[in-house]
Amino acid sequence: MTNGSTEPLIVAQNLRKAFNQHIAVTGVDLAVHGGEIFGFLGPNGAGKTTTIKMLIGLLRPTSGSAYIGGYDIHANPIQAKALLGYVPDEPALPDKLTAREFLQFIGGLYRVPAEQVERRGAELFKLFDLQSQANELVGGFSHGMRQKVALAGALLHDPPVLFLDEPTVGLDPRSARLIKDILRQLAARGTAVFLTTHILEIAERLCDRVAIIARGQVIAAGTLNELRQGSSGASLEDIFLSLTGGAEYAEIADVLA
Amino acid sequence: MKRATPSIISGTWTILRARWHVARNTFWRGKLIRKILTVLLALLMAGISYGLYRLSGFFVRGLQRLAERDANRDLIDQLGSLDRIFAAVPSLALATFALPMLLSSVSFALSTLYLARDIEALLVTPVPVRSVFLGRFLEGLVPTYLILFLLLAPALVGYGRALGYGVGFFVTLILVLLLLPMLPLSLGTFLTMLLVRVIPARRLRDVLTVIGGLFGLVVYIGSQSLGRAARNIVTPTMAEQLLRFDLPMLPTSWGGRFLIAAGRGEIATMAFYGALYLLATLGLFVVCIVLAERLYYIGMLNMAGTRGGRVRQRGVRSAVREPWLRGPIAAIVRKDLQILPRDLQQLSQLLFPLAITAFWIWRLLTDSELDSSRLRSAQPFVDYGLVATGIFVCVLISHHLGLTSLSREGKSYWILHLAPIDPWTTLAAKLVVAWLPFGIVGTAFVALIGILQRPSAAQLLQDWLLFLLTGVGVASITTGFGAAFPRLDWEQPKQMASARAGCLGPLAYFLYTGLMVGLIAGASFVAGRFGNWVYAAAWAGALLVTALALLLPLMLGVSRLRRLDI
Repeated sequence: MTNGSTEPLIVAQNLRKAFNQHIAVTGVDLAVHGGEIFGFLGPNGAGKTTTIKMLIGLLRPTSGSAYIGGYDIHANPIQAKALLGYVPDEPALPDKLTAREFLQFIGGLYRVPAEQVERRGAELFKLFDLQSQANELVGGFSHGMRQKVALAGALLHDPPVLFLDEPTVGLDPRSARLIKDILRQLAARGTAVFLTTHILEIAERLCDRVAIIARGQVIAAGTLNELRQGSSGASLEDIFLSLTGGAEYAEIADVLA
Repeated sequence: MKRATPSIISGTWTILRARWHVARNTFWRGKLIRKILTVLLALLMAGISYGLYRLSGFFVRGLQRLAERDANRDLIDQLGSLDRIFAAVPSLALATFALPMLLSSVSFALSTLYLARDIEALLVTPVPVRSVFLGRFLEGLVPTYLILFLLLAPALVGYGRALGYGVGFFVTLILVLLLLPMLPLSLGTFLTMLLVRVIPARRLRDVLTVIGGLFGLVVYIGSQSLGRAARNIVTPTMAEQLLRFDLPMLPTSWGGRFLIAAGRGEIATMAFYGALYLLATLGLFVVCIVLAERLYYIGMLNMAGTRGGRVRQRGVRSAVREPWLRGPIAAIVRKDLQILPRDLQQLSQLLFPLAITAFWIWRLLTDSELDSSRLRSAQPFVDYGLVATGIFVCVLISHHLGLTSLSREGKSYWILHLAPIDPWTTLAAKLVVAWLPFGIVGTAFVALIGILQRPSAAQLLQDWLLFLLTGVGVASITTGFGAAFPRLDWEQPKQMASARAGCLGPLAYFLYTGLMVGLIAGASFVAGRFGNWVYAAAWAGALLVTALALLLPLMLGVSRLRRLDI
């Protein structure tokens, strides 16, 4: 579901990353428009996190380009990074800052006016039910609470592009549902949402388009209907397993049972 | 359904074998340069070991030859009985190595038994808790054994050969060294297992770090104070001093006497002291293994309850509204200054230099040997001596703040790397933090100079500007090198500074501070002969040197940050 915006907010052109002799990711081309939730699926070790890190500038690609809002993330990093927010799969946050101080720190880095930091911070704490923990040190938070604090930090400056790496892993059902609802609302407001996941149910219910990556290469991309073409109504799980080569493991699973 | 569980021995062996695989893979799959450096280090240690072996034998034979000549009677009288000295040497050597082990034993127990990353994973497996305890304890002994067998063993072998001891001495030496760490480390482990029942391990580690810093400070102050007091103490003979370490009640003395008896072939004495030594070293160790089943496991359960803590927000909201406190540089500086006092481990790294600062200020204010009138007559020498002392103290603090500026971020560095800020902005903020000691402590030192010596206003201003300007250069050097060689994957604060930053940084800033003090002090000395224009020339030189010190290291740091992959 796009929002009338013609230029994609996230563009990857032939992204490639090699670590010594090992090719982690190769030939990744994709485009995500504003208002779209794009799912990047793949088995463990497929290259999802490597791809997302190249898109947001945490990793330099061996070749290829990545653009955020029209800015090359590596040639114009400041302009590009000002447009994006990122939530890692395991957010490492400064343990000795309180949640409130962390948001103030993020606000300073992204040049968000102090009044906006306070107002938006209060809204986000209320939304994530963190009001009573706002003055507690992040070091004592559970994984789910850290995830929420990291998401609050990513949303503080109201970015038009949001990247999430495995956003619902480790969250209780209520929190996972909350994040899904937030992502839908953000997309409805025109934000381009790029998320990686290996939970297919999330992709089926949330994503407008998906790409499936396996062994460093995108092997399928499109809407769910496009992916289902020729598969006579198969589920995303069946499509995923047939593309990534997981279907034959069912026999092994039978043996172990 | 009942399943077989490993025995204590097989469980321990599995854990030790896994650790061997990790060490082997770390070496084999590491970078070539690391392998080469490891081999070079091994060769260097082998060389040092051989050197210690030859040196100890040389000293023993040298003393024996000295004693044979009547001309050296006075010297021998000062040393005391050579036989008693030689007999005390093993006890002294064992005690010298056992004492640091004892002092670090609680820290050893915490890091190997409670705070290692894989401990929780091990404890949920069906392996006896005693196996986990034993495996980790023995694994933790490896660095200790490396030190003992590379440093102490060669020295004692050289000693034994020079005294003509038989093969029994050398075989016993191996046994004594293998058992030496057992007593002090078991003592610390036992104490730790008791403490961790009431204090969570992480909190205990933080407290220990502070205590360690305070202990180091006490030792430093004591050495400074004893230096003066020692003039008035009658120096006993060397033999009497060494015999203090050969007290019959000390287990290290039992080990020493065990060795001497083995060397001399005195079977009964050997059996007596050998039994005592074995009982002392292994006894507490066995008690720890027996108690580990319960005590160790309870301590691990306690770790789950550690909370982050609550902070009262005072005035932060209003402070952030100030225009000059907004923006990325202010945000990073504010964040660093908020975190530093809350992180006991990082704070302990600063404790020593901060306490040295206070010590020197107190000593300068109260030292009765410093006569103010004599000080004034010795200016400008004393002036710049005090300035150099103050700069040195500020450098000690800035060294830690700057060299670990990026490393302190650790795994949360991705936040700075992702933010829409240039690496110059990041390093500018870190430079401000590293400069603060010069601004605060330096100003205090200048005020002290003003109180003690009452120099002219121009001289006082010059001293203050020297502090501030030198601070810019030092802060830039430490920050730049810290950014050029960051370590972001540390688990403990002492791992923050990389070896390269730790070596190159101090070289650069000592050279720089020497130049700065030399330029300005030199101008004072020669101004009388060449005229006041030398001051202008000196300050121009100082500004140029500082500009280079400011730009070059930061450029190095920025270049590295631009290429950093997270």
